[in-house]
Amino acid sequence: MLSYIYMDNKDEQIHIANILQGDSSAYRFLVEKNKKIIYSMALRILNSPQDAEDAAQESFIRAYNQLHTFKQQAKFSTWLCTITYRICVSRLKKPFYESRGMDDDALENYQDSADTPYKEMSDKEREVFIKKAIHKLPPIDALLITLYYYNDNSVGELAQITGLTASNIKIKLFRARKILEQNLKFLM
Amino acid sequence: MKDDQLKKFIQSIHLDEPAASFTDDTMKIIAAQEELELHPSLLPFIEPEVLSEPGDAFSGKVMASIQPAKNKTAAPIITRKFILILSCAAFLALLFAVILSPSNSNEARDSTYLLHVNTSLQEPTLELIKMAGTVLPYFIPFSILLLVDYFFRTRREQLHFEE
Repeated sequence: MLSYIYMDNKDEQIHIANILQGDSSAYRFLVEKNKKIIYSMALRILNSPQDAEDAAQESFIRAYNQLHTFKQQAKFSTWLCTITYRICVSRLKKPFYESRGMDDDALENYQDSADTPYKEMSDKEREVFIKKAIHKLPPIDALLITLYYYNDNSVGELAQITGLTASNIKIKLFRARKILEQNLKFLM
Repeated sequence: MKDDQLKKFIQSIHLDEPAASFTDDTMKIIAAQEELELHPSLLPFIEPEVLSEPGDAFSGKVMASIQPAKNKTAAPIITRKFILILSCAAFLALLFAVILSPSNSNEARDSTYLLHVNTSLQEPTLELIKMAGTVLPYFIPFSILLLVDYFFRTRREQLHFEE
């Protein structure tokens, strides 16, 4: 696992070096590698597929333009997530922390799914159920959970991305985990 | 539920994906940007599909707005109208001076009309002449400077057009 991450980062560094030397096509590798996490992150914050895609695209372009300022002490994805977070939050009409999680209709669907026995659920249905459980969280908690479990970001990196304090992030992660455990208990 | 189990559950679902053309669209914008060497602040205005082109006169207009300082000729401080007013004022002052000069007043002693004018205007005109005596030493060189400026700059403008 460690060697995989090492190789991955090395590949990333090689591509970044190539881009900085003028080979813009090398950026395709970085877009392909990070597009899912960046899009998911934008979707968590903006709650609209179209807006999320626009914001994700803007994030990649801004990152490309500022690549010369990227210090390779941090992971490229962490740096990119920081840019995305700022772009998405600036696009919100109201403060991110005030935005609500799932709407009432979605909650109804969520309750319907919960009535279905776990063994009768297909993989797809299970996936939808877990996704909805995450969506049910407050948006900032859902975002932190996504980055923590998918992007393997540490608490320090999450603090860098969101601008929250490490202790605040720990509290939010703890709270989100408790809620998820509660809602996904029957999957065990 | 252990944290590892939760992690396993969460990682078992697929992340949301953008449209299939996402990477291509992004790379298209970057390639266009590289080609045109655009400033990053202009990027939000670029359409991913087509780059709009300005009209044929665009470059000319931009260059005209950049370079006017080079060919610009400064306008004279005073206008032609002001010169006319100045000339009239000078003519009237001269006429007044001629009428009220001591040599003329000797010749005019025989004329009753001029005598009448001379006596009726004597007090105010003496005051005016006193005032003019203090103002004229500044007014005359200043007027000359304005006139020189006018003729010099008008001449430069004519030369510029001839070029």
